[in-house]
Amino acid sequence: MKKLRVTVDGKAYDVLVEILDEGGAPAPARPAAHPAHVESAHVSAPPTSARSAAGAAAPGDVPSPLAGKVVSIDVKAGQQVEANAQLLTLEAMKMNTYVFAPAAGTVKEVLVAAGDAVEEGQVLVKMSQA
Amino acid sequence: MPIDEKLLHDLDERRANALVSGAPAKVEERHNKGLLTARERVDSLFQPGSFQEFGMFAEHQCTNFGMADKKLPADGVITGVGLMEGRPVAAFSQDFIVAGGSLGRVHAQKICDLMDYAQRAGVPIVAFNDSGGARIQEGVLSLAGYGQVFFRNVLLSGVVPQIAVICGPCAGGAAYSPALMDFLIMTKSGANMFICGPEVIKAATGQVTTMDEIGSAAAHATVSGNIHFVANDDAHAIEIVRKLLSFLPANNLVDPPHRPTPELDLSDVPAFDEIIPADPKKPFDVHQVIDALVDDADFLEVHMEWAKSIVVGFARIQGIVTGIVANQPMVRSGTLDIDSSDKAARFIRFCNLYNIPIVTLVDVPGFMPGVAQERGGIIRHGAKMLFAYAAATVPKITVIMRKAYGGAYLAMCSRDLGADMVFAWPTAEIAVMGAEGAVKIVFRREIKEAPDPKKAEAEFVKKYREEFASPFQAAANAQITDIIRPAHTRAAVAMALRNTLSKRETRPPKKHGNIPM
Repeated sequence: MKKLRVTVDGKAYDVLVEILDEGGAPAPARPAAHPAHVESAHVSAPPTSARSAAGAAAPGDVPSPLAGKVVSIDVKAGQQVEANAQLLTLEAMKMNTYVFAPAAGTVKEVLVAAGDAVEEGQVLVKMSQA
Repeated sequence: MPIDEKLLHDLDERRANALVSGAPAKVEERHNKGLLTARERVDSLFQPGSFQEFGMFAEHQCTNFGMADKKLPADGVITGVGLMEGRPVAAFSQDFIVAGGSLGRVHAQKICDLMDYAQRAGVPIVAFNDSGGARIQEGVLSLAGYGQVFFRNVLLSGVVPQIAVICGPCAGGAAYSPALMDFLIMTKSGANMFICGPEVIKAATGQVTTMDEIGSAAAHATVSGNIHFVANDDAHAIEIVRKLLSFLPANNLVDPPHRPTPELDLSDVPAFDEIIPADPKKPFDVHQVIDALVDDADFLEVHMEWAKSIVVGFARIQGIVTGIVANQPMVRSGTLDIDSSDKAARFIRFCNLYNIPIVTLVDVPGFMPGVAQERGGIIRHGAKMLFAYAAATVPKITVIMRKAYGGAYLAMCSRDLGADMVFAWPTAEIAVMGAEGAVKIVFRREIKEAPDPKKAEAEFVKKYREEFASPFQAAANAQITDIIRPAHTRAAVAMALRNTLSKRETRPPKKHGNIPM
């Protein structure tokens, strides 16, 4: 039994409602609203055995995302960095583009210097993974 | 007279056998591996008890190669319709337990029947792909089955949303049915999709490769762009389906599920004022803008890991379902390139098919320069953006945040491509080209003849920038609707959407346009 108050034309009525068939199979209920935040899982590109035009891609090689000019080197060889740490800054289309560490590790070698022109896919930094 | 108990008992028994795919041990094996069965996948998609199955007792008719005695429950595919948040959705799910989910004639016919039903009823369709491929014993009938499914994929395209979940093998021709659908979701492990596998590639070409490199979810999500979402597992894939459908209409003749707020909130959002860096060379993450613009920062990003210089996805703005297309200055300077043009154009066309308004956020320095881009056909690919925007008749609202240069400005839904309203921030730079390049052409002689050419050039650059690197020239020429404070963006866009929702536009009748491909 459920007690409900119904108001009709401003007049309140108290009513008792008996729910029949409670034991039977329930009608498909409207479930709670979909979970608020759903997103695609993060993945990184699997290694490829194909060689890029501008150089070999070995594990730990950080390639240039685009053709441009090196503005600054933001790490030193031997430095330990976290994943997504800024390694260097490039300029193309009058915009700076940052290059980030794909994973935590140590910077083994920086292959370019400020002012260098780089090709897309050219290896900029060699890293060893932590 | 009451029904004969024996008949009911027989029905129950047959049903129980079908429910475990005729192989309870194999069901348990899958559970031990942490996998859902084909039937559990559909069941968990829908509200409990709401799945109405079609053709549970269907059987193959093949007699070749000793098939006559083989029982294949439901012929290896579960099909039917169920309720998702109160809305009917059709689904089919290939049953790997039954003959490796292989596709035979009856299997294909069940899928086709369901697709025909979805078209008639005007309900979306979800396809769980988990199949070893063609049922070789059934020969050319199996091949024909694929053809019939592809044909229906095309018939349904633009009529009801089609979503594919790749949760097992999906090889060779089988991969083309998902490819013809609107969105592909793939589980991180256990699923692969390819036309020719590593062995075939090696035999035919000598190239050595791995399944990870060519067929994994990671490869398709980051490199090939063949899939739109990566799921951690079956349950996550189903969550993504549900989330995606929460933004989509049941079919092309109805509106998407808008939930307009009873009152428009016109208050400023100060966060917008903090986003554009003082240094025009410095990039910013456009996700910050999207999060401030959409309701509850709830944004379902499509193609999150591919062609990242453009960001596309679904959200609601004060309850109105919206497709967002935004340049991402953090990646490749936010330029339009071959892949980002393909990605955005496909998304825009989807939104147009299903009556979803499009909000475009612009910070684009141009099309990506480079030999690979030119030789790869950036003209043909970039043209898709122009085509998709110009052909779209849904409400189109554009916000120019910063750079809007040249052809890329036009390609990002400028007024001339049919934007209903264009807002610009005071930081907007709308021009044919950047200052440095422009003065070299316009003032070539003046610079050359000046006593100090360097100084003269710098002055011309400064002058050009003052005049053109602002939204006021565009506003003076009636190219934009209004120049607004960034903080006012959410209110302005929400109002624009509400005011434009009743838009109707008729175009000359034709079979279809000829989008460059």
